Amino acid sequence: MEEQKGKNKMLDKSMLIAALKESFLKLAPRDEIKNPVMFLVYISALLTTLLLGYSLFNIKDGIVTSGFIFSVAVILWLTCLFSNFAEAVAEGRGKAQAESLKAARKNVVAHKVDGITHKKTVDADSASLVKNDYILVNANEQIPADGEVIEGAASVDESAITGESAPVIREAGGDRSAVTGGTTVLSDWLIIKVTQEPGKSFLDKMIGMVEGANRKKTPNEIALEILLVALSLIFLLVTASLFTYSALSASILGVKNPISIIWLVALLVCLAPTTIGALLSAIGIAGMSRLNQANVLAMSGRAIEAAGDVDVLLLDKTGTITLGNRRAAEFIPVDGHAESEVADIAQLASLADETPEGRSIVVLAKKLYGLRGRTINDQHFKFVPFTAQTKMSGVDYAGIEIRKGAADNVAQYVQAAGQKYSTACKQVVEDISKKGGTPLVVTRDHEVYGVIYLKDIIKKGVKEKFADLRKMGIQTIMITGDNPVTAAAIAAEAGVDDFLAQATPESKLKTIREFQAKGHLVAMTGDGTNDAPALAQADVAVAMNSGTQAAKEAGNMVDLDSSPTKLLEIVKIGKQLLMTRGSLTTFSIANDISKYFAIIPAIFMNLYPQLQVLNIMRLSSPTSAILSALIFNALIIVALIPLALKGVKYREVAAKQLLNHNLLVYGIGGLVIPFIAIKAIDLCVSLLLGLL
Amino acid sequence: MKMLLQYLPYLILPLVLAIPLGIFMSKLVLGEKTFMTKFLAPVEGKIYRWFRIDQAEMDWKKYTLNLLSFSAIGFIFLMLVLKFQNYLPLNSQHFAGMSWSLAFNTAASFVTNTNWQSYSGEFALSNFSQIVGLTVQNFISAAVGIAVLFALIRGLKRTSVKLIGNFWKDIIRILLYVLLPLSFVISLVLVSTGVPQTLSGSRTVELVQPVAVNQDGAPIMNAHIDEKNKVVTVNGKKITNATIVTREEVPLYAQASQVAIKQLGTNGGGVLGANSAHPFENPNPLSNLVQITAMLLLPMALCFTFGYSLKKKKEGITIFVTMFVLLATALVINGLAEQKGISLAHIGNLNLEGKETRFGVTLSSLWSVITTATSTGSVNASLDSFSAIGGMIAMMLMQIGEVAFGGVGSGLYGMLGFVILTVFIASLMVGRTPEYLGKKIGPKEMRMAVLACLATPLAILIGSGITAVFPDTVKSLTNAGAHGFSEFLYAFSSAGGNNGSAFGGFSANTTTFNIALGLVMLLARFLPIIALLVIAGRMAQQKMTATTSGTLSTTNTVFVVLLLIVILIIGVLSFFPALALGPIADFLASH
Repeated sequence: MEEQKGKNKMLDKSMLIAALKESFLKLAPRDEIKNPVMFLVYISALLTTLLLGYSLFNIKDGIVTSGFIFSVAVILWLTCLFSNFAEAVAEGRGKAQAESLKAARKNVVAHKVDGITHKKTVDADSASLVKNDYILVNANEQIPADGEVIEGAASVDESAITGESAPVIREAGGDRSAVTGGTTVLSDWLIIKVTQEPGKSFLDKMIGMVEGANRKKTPNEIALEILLVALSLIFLLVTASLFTYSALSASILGVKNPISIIWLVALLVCLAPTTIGALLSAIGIAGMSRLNQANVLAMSGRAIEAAGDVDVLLLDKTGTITLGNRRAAEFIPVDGHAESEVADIAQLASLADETPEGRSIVVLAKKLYGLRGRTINDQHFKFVPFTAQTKMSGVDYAGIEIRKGAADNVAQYVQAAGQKYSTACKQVVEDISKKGGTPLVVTRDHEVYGVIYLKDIIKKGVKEKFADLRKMGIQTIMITGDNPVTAAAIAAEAGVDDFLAQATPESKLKTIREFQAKGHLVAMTGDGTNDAPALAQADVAVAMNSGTQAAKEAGNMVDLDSSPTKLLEIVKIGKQLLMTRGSLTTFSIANDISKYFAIIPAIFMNLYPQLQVLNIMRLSSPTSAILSALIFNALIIVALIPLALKGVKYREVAAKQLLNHNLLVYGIGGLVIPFIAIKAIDLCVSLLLGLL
Repeated sequence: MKMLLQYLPYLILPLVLAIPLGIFMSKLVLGEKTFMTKFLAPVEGKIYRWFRIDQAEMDWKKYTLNLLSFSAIGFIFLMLVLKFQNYLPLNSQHFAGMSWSLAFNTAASFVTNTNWQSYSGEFALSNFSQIVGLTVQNFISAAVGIAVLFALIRGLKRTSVKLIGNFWKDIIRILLYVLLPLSFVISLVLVSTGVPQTLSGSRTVELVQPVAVNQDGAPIMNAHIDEKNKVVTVNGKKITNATIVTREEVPLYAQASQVAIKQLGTNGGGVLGANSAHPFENPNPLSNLVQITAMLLLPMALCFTFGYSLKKKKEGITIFVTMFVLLATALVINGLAEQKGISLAHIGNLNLEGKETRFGVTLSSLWSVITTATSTGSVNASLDSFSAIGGMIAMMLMQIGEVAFGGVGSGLYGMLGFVILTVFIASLMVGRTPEYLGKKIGPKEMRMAVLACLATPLAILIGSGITAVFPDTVKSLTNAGAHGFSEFLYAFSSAGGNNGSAFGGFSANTTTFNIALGLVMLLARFLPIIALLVIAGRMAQQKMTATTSGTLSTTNTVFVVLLLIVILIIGVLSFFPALALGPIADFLASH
């Protein structure tokens, strides 16, 4: 974490310089027109510059000085630059990430093979590969294109994409068959069928997304922009009609129209929602970039917005709700046997069992009864490994047959030997299942001694997490392959709202459809090919990077870490993005009140001196008042860039509290802050004007 | 405090009547049977057969197209009636036809439910024009407003369909079940208070006391009249070109029925120029109570219709509360300002100028607020004589688009436009993409909502902004300075709010203003109608999203406050500079 922070800072300096350059380049009209609100400022800056030119040749209205026009022009150009800077900084982060990705996308030699015989035929440039080509990749070679493993198994270094240095296994068939271009085979070899056309690879998509090149405006961004454009249009009319109103008022009073065009330009720029207008695209890019930093790639910006709306999360039990592995919690003797006896044979049965469950049994026995010292190297031990047929494992030791296994299988095994299966054991097994545990029955010479209680360990803090989510109106549904009894117990302990037991791809799909029919938006994570239909149906579908190509294509996000808890983070980022937009819009609009109080008395001073009462900030002069409002308008953009990039504070509370909090901070804050700030700026400006 | 107590019955009576009426109308929205169905269904059936009306439901395009053609035909018909009333029957006073520009203005005014009048009825309109022309539109334009709201409610309620109702069925049902019976009852009550109802025409009667007037027809003050020698003297000095008037014409029309629908349909166009300040339109405090109740009745009731139709009563109540707070605030400020009146040097405070003594200050200021808060625009006093703040409150109520109950249908659908804007910003602040009543607000819905909310400010700003620089504008003003500007601003605010009330003191019957104000009225009426029908259509096609604790609540206090702020901010931001040049400068000048 510390290291990363240091790295970010390093990046910051060079990134800021690049962003500074970029903000000047973005002054080109074709860039400016993409942002309608700022385009209005841009036009105003051009107009003011033009009027400045005229005034230098003494063509002026006699109301304002050239010096004033010059100051206004400078502030307006700065306003444009600040907005460009905000966007450039936001893009900068993505660019840095894209650069490192591009390094992975170099052209390499691809060994094309025949699709049927898989015999090597010809070497070609990786750029020439098309869909359905077959290629061979040997150890220490880079995989030239996205594809699916057809033959072979190999360990692959995917750090170029995931940043994770531990190699992963890729093999033909199953859920680990997808490979990504730009990753490197470390051992063995793979025959790969290319699944993407050139230029459309996963890496290309990633680069496009993080670079922002493919960044389309999202529906909500467009809707907000419509509001901002409409407000700007109203303010354009307000200022234009103000000119004619003042002309009419002046002619009623029989005087010359005392309003300068420059004043109106200043008023227009102050009123137009420039704060949110300038930061809108930065907010969007930063949201995407936060997602990328969480090692999640969204295939569209729309997906992030949907993440904010999600109100049903389908969470895989293993890894999200429980720690990956069950642990032995208790030895329960039956039929008069002692607990220590059970512990003893359970440990013996598990000595060679390398699974985490097995290890936990050995450890528990050691902890409870100090049983130790028996090594698996002892020649007398004959270990019986777990097989799919017997579903039991154990050890034969000095003519004693020790076994452990699932209750049903052990019952068969016991009965097959002509023994009676213990009824007390049945009861214990049932009890453990009800508690959400997994029972393993242990036997010695076909006699049931007792039961090992394997417990699913609920992750620390999940219950609180789910309670917070519930407050936000998000339901959590646990997906598990366990039987309903076990699932219900774990669900109750973890505090999820509901569970789907003995989940199959079909039942997942059905669950998603049912929730959607009730008007919910559903998010899920998936990896296997059989998850693809459910992923395609879900509103936010996160495919694990370790998963298959089919799963990745069906999802609208890819989690490079393949972490099951990522959904929670994605929802947070989505909500934060929307909240930032809303809060800054509120702030921007609330600002306008103070700007009116600064500018209106200033420009009507000559016409109706009594309007001076409205100058509640007691700004020193009309010139200073207008300049101060404009300066505030420009500086607030810079001041809010960090907030736009980081996003507003996110808390897991109900909508009501969120609204109250954000209204207080950004609504009331937006109303009050500019009054103070403009007054402060006015003090400085009037001091400067006095010196001149 | 005493003032506020006086207001109470005027607010409680309409509320008490509005609740059952609202529930009744929700049955019309949903097409359910009512207690009147038994009697009216056969009539309804006959009308459908006569006009060969296809009773199938329509999508938003068809609904809008039918509505617009219906209004267009009504508009052209009315314009022709007014222009050629001299060739039409029931013109006992032999009035000439209106000028084209005035006919355009008046037709636009009545079709848009504005009822801005650049003329005085008793000096310009035949009985035929009054009844077949204006009264018909008073009913129809009100029904159109309610129909749009009905379609919008259906759009919000339905899921995954395109249909939002049948326009003709809505219009006929609203007329038959709501407007006609209610205005019949109100007419009867008004007749009982002394409002005339006759087709006999005006009557000429002897004056109790003769009056002297100058060549312009203005009464001569302190005149001493020698009737025998026909000589008029003032302070012993003979006035040469004075005329002695001994008889007057008493304007008798079918007033009661027209006054009933003018208030009930929030139309506001009076039979007489003086509108409800005239004793023949509004003779006493009882008729005053009846008329204020009639103005508030339908707009209030529709809030409950909204909640009941959606089976979400709280949503309707929230909107009712928001509107009520706006109205009550305006009442208090206006009331206080009028109690204080205008202070003039050497004279002191004046607050009865321009007000009828039978209503006094309280009831006049109450009326001025309610007539501008609803989209009625009828008047019982002269606003030109109100205090600067009193006039400003009336102006602001119109500039915010008349959503403090507002016009029949239009008040609530206008408010729903603001609700959508509020929901948009507030939803984002809780980290959700915006939705209202389970329907998403995407770019297209937003474009339409913005259009609906901003049509009024746009129309007012464009119309007044352009005409302000016309050289003749100054000549149309009576007062100098900021108060003169208020007269001008008020006219456009009234047209843009589809209100129709006049500040007075502004001569609007010029070609320029007739056309400019007419266009402003048409834009401010039909842009929001189209926009909201588009929203209705799009909402109907959507699925309903589920409500959770993460959803923005649109029924709590915070939402009411936020909605109020959005309305005020849009209103204030759009008109603060204009108000500064008008009433604010006016107010500050005298303080």
